[in-house]
Amino acid sequence: MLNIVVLVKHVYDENQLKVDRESGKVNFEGVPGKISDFDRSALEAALVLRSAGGGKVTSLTLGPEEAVKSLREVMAMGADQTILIKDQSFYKMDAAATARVLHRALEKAGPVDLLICAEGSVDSYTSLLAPMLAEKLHLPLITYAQSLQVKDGTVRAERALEKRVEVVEAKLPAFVTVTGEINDPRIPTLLQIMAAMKKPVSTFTLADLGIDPRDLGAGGYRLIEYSAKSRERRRAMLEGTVPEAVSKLVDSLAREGLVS
Amino acid sequence: MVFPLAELGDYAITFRPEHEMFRKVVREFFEKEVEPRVSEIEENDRVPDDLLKKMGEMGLQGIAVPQEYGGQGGDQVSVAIFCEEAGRVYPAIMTLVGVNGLFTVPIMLFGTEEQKGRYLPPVAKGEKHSAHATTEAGAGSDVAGIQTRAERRGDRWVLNGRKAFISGGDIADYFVVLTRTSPPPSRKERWKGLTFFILEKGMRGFSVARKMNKSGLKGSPIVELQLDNVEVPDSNRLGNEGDGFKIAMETFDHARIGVAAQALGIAQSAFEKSLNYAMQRSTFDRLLIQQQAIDNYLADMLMKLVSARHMVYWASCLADAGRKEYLIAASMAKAYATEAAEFAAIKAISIHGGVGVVMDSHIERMLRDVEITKVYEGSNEIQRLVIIRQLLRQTLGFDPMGI
Amino acid sequence: MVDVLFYSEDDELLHELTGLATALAAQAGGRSFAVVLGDDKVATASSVAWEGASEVYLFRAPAVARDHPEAAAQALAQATADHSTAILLVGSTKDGKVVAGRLAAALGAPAASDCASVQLQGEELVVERPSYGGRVKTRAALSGRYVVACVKPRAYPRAARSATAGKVTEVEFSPTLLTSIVEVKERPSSNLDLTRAERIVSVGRGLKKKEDLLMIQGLADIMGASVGCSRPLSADLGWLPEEAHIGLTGIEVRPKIYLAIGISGQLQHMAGVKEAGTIVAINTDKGAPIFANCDYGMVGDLYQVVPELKRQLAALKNK
Repeated sequence: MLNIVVLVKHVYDENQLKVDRESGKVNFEGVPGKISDFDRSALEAALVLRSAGGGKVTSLTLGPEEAVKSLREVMAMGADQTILIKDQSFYKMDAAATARVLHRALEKAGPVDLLICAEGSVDSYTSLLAPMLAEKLHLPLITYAQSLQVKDGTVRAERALEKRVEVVEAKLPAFVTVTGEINDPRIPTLLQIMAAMKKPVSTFTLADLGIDPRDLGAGGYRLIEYSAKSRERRRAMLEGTVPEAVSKLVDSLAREGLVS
Repeated sequence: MVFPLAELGDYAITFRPEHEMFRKVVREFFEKEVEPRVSEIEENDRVPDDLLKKMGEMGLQGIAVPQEYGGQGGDQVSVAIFCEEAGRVYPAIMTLVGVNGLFTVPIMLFGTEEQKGRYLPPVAKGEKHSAHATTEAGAGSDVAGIQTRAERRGDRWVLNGRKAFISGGDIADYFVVLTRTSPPPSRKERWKGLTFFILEKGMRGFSVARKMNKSGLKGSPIVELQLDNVEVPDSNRLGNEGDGFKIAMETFDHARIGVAAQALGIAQSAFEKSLNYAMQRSTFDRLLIQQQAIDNYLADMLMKLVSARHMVYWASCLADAGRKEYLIAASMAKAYATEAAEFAAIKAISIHGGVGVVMDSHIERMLRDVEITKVYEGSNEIQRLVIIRQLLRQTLGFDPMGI
Repeated sequence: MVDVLFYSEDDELLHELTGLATALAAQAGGRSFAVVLGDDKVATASSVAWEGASEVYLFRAPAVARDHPEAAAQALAQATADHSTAILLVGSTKDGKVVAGRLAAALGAPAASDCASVQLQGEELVVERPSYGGRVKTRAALSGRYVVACVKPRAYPRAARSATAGKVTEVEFSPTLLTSIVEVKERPSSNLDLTRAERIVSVGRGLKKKEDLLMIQGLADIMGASVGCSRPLSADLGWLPEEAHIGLTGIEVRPKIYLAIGISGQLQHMAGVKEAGTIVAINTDKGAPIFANCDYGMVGDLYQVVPELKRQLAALKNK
């Protein structure tokens, strides 16, 4: 019987950002939100462990009011409970501030056997939250897990590093971050979606956790700006028959000294 | 009155949060799992088994089948959503999966408890496939003109005949088959004397005769079914003897919105691809989108697309509200959406130029796929008849044509 | 007067950090200190000392702790305790980010990862890092007694050899490790380092069969290029190893030429390619996003284009 908490992040959809081409300014207004892509793999990993040995899967999110909509998907996939800590400035927070909030939330939640999240979130992709939170909670941390097993109070995972694969073990309670390769998240059926609509999302405010939002900005991290000046690519389309187009390509590349 | 309906509110469309989530989930599945394999399906004229299995597991064969029979207990809007999203990526899959509705609906409406319990759950859960066999080579729109016969012999029936253009007939385990069980009492009452039976694959004398090679909807084969003295117990009769025509009509009425939604998906895809192309391709030193002729095409496509969208979901909402006006709405949606999709597909080819007819672009495929949507499930000519006849029947209380 | 401490488990990256750390320390009126972990890293410690580091803390630790991010975080925390104010630089590898995160939390310090640039501006350390699939650049300022920044590989050049060597100080060390490494499987193709490749031929879902990779490899051979891929070909299909996967969750490359064959160009793949000099795209889908992000684009069937390209490139070579 495992008490598992999955960290789920509500992010702005990186494919739908509004960018001013001239100034490079990024506008987040009206940009739809979604659950960070790899979080579903984290949730799936938790659900698989629950099927194998029993337990409870709770998802925990720090995010805006709108996150309730995307969290329904988490419910539809099968989470037993879904918790949202509401804060509108989520996208400006750095990992340390988020870690402070989640630390407080987890302290209040009581004993957890396994904490799971994705290797990184698709918006900032800092991969810092997990080690920061693990340090605060004094938990062993296994990152970049591409496989995960729990047996006799021990978690065992394969870590996919740049130059090698490590097999790592830790005693529960533990914290694991997973890669998108670890599994194929289940697709909820209409039935599960309809049932999820009836389940409540438990919401809390920062005040409920005894946190003053002003304190969150006092950690020494100051966001200066987001800018999206994209490098302008030439976009030269090569037309003609295959031999003609290839010939044009080879000429251009040869001229630039890219082929000899 | 806001003729032909009673008031403004009768034209309302309402969605619930689960509709949007379902749409998102279905779209992701189609974009992630189906889209990359579209070329493969088109080339092999076959939807891979693993995709079919996955869709079955997602409950897509039983969206509107009640939960107690293993279905998702969803509404017409949800069915339309699936059909649209499938139509947007690969319409043939909508037909392949959706054709099960032509089996589950008549059994839901007219089956005995025993029949429902036996046949609905496996199909709804995707464990078995099913098909609907009414059409024959000589009788499409004219359902009453079918020649397949069923003769009573004690507590059994013996079926003889040949069905044609049966979608999914090659992989189906279960079928509902329309037969003539008694001659029509008069020329005016040709529709009397028809009866449905439930058949299973493997019944002696019942076989898939041949696969018909067609243009469009590759991956959703159509076959001819041969019935040679097929013996079927009376317990497999679906509904009362002589009720066949009514059952067929009600079945098609229910399925109509699905086809309209499928066409809507095609129109949506045609528009999206054309817009994308127009924003990237240049001619005469300007982007296509800066050429007025292209803008005209795109604007026309968008107007028809959004109109179709409203009609499809309006009809679905009426169906879910149990309103009989949905019959008119569904016929309008089907005729309009399929023609809007055809328009969009043709304009997409124009906008894409040479690329539009290159097989790999999947633009010309839209036109091939859309053509049959105007014809099956009640051809658009029939839909126009239905629209006016239903209008007269419902609002004015009389039917000038007889049937 | 701010000191700079720096660490990376990757030697190449450590040498890149040396130059940066020394420059920052000079600017801040402090000194630079390298943290090296492991009984078998004496040579590394020495070479860093000769590249400008004022001092190298060589933490004695058996091999099992050497690659352990927990040990590194504890070593850095222990080293930092002797410095009242410090900038901490960690190489931004997967393990490096774990080190940085744990260290930052232990010190109560702000942190930033995958920094492409790090600059001292007054009392703040200003960093630039990619976000939103690489589409957006984030600029942030870190301030406080201690700040932690993970620096990307190849963001800074390797330090030059210095005239004098810094001191190497051995430090006793007994880390408490909460996780144990049970087994290490070295990746067989670890000589594939696309991050340093100057020419890359990359392939995506447009490739129909694994056997067709031979054709792609043939093209790469003629061009003197390495073969990379988008995520589906390594993660889903396993046709190419993980090291070949280019993208947000894969590797970032900065070749002079990047040939994208049968790749649609989704944001998460392009995040790994945006630094490429010249991008050439070949795809049958006119509407594929990659055509908006390339220098040269060809709408066509790779099965026709690639053989033709091989033919013409070979002919060019023979001239």
